[in-house]
Amino acid sequence: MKFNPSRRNILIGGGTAAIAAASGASWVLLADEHQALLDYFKRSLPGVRIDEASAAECIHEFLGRWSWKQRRAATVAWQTFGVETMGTMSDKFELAARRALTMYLTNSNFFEVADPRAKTIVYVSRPSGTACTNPFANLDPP
Amino acid sequence: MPVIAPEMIEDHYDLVIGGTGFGSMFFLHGYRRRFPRARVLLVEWGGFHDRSWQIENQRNSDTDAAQTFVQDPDEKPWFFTLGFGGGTNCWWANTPRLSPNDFRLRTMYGVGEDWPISYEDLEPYYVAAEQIMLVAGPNDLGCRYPRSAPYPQPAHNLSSVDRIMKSAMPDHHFAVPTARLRTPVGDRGPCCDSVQCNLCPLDAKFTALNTFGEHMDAPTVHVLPNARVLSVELEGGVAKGLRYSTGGREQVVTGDLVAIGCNAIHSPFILMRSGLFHPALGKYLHEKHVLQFEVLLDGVDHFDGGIPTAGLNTLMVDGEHRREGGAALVYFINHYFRDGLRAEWGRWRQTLPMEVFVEDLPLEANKVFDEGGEMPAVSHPRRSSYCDKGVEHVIAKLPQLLAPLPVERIIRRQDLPTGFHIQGTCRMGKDRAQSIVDGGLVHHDVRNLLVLGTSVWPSCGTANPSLTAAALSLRAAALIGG
Repeated sequence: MKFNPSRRNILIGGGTAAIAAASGASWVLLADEHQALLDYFKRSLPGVRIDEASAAECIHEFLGRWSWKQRRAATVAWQTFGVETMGTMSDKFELAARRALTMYLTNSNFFEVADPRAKTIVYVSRPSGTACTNPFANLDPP
Repeated sequence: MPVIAPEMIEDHYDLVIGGTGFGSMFFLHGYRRRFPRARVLLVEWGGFHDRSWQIENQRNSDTDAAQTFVQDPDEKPWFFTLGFGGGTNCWWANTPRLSPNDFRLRTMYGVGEDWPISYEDLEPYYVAAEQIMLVAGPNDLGCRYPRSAPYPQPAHNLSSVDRIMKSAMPDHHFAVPTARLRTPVGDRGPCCDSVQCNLCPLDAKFTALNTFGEHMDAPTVHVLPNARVLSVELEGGVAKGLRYSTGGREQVVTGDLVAIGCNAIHSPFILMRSGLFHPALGKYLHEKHVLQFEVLLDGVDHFDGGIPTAGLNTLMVDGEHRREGGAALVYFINHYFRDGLRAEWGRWRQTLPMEVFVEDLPLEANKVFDEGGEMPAVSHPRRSSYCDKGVEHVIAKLPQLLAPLPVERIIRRQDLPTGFHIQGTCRMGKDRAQSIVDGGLVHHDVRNLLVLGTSVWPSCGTANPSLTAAALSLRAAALIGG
C-alpha cells in the first residue's frame, strides 16, 4: 500500500482502530500486517522477483517474535499510514520495518547472486543456533 | 562430573566459595595453582548446565535471576545468570582493560574514589587472565593500556569503517580485544560472527565450562549446585564457613578460607545477613550508562569486520574532561541486528551502529539493602550528574570523532536500560571506614574472608568488567597467605 494520507485512508484507519478497540481479536481479520510487510518488501526491492511463499514464511517468523499487543499496534499503523510513512514518524516503526527487510535479505540469496534482479529471491529459514550468520563478515585468517 | 550431592559434602574444606562466576572461578584457578591439593567446595545457587544442555535449551540457566531480588519495576533493571559459571556463560566476551587513570580518578581529576591498587599492580594479572581466556587482541592497544606481554591470539579483522578510522586515528582506534578465539584451540572453534555469543554455536568464547576443566575434574574440588548461600558463619571475628539452603534445608559447611563471589546484588546481602554491617555495605551500586547511535554513511559499506563488535575508540576514555563528566568508550558494532540494514537500494550496508559506554559515579543512594524479606532489595533511582555531563560531552564530541568518515547523519537511538554490568556495593579501599575489602579483596575485619567479583569496584571506568574481575581474583589468590 503506497502511502496516501487521504481522508479516505485516515477514515479507514480510524475505523480499523475503533473496531480493534471494540472487538478485540476480530479486528485482525480486517487488517493484515503480513501483506503490509510483503508490499513493503516489494516497494523496497523494485524489479526483484520475490518468491512470495518463502517471503511469507520470513514475515511469519519475524512477526512471530512479537507480542500480540505489538502486532496490533503495527497492523493498525501500517494499514492506516503505510510502512514507510510510519517509519518517518517513529523510530520504532522505522527499525521494525528495516529489521524485517534485513531478515529477508540476509537469509535469502539476495546478497549471493551477482544481479539480484536476474534471479528469483528465495528466503531460507535459519534454525536458531546457526553459526556464521553475517554474510559480509571478513573471516580471512591472520 | 564435579557435582556433588548435599549428603556427600565433606565436614571441612580448605576453601569454600559462594558463587561460580568470573570472580570465583579465577580465584579458584589462582588458588589451586598455589595449593593444588587443597580441598575446595563451590556453592552455586543455580544449576549445573553443561554446554550441551545450554545449546539444546537455547538458554544459559533455568533459574530466573529476576526472582532473586526485589525492586521497583520502574527503576533500572539488572540482569545476571545464576548457574555454574555465572556470567562466563552469557557474556559477549569483550575484554578491554580499565585505563591507568581509572584507578586514580580522585588523584588525577578530583572526583570519585581511587582504587587501593594501581594499574601497574594489576597489569601482570591482566596478562595472566588474558592468557587463560586466550584473548585475541591488537598489541598496539598497549599505547593506551600499557602491557607487558603480547595478546595470546592475533586480533580479529576490522571492518572497512574501522580501517578508515584506524588510518585517521591510529592511537585511538583499535580492534576490540576479545575472549572469542581468532584461531581454534582444542574444541573451541574460531569466532565467525554468529552474533549469538551467549550461546556461541562454535564455543569460541571463553567460558568456565570450556576452560576450567582441570579444576572441575579434580577429585579435590566439589561443586554443589542448586544451593543458595545465606550467610557467612563467623566466630570471634573469623569466618568459619558458609550457611546455605538446598532442598528446603539449611546446612553449614566449614572451611579455613571463605570467599563470596555472588555478584553485586547478592554478595552484600549475604554479608548483611552475616552481621557484618558497615555504613558503605550495599551502597554505591552502579554501572556505565550505555548510549546507542546509528551513523548513516555516504558510500562506505560496513559489517565486514570479523566479529560482532569489531572496533573500539578511546578518544574519550581519558582526559581533562573527566573533571566534569564521565569518560566514554565507543564501540563500533559490526552487526545489523539492532537497526537493520538501510532500506535503500544499493546502500544496504552504509550504516554504522555504535554503542557508547559512559562512566557513572557511584552514588550512596543507589543500593542493595535488607528490608527483612527473603530476598535483597535493590534501589537505583538515578545515575549521577557526572554521568549526564559525560553524555553531553559524548554528544558534543561525536562529530569530531567521526570526522574521518563520510557521515550523512548521526541518529541517537534509545539508551540501553542496562549494560548488564553490576558493580559496587562491597567497595574496596585502603580506608576501612569507607570500604568493605582491601586491595587484595580481603574483608577489612574478617581476614580469612574474601569478596570476589565486580561488587568490590569503587568506580566503573568505561571497560567491560569481566577481564578486570578475573585479574583481581588472580591477584587476590597470589596474595592470599602471603
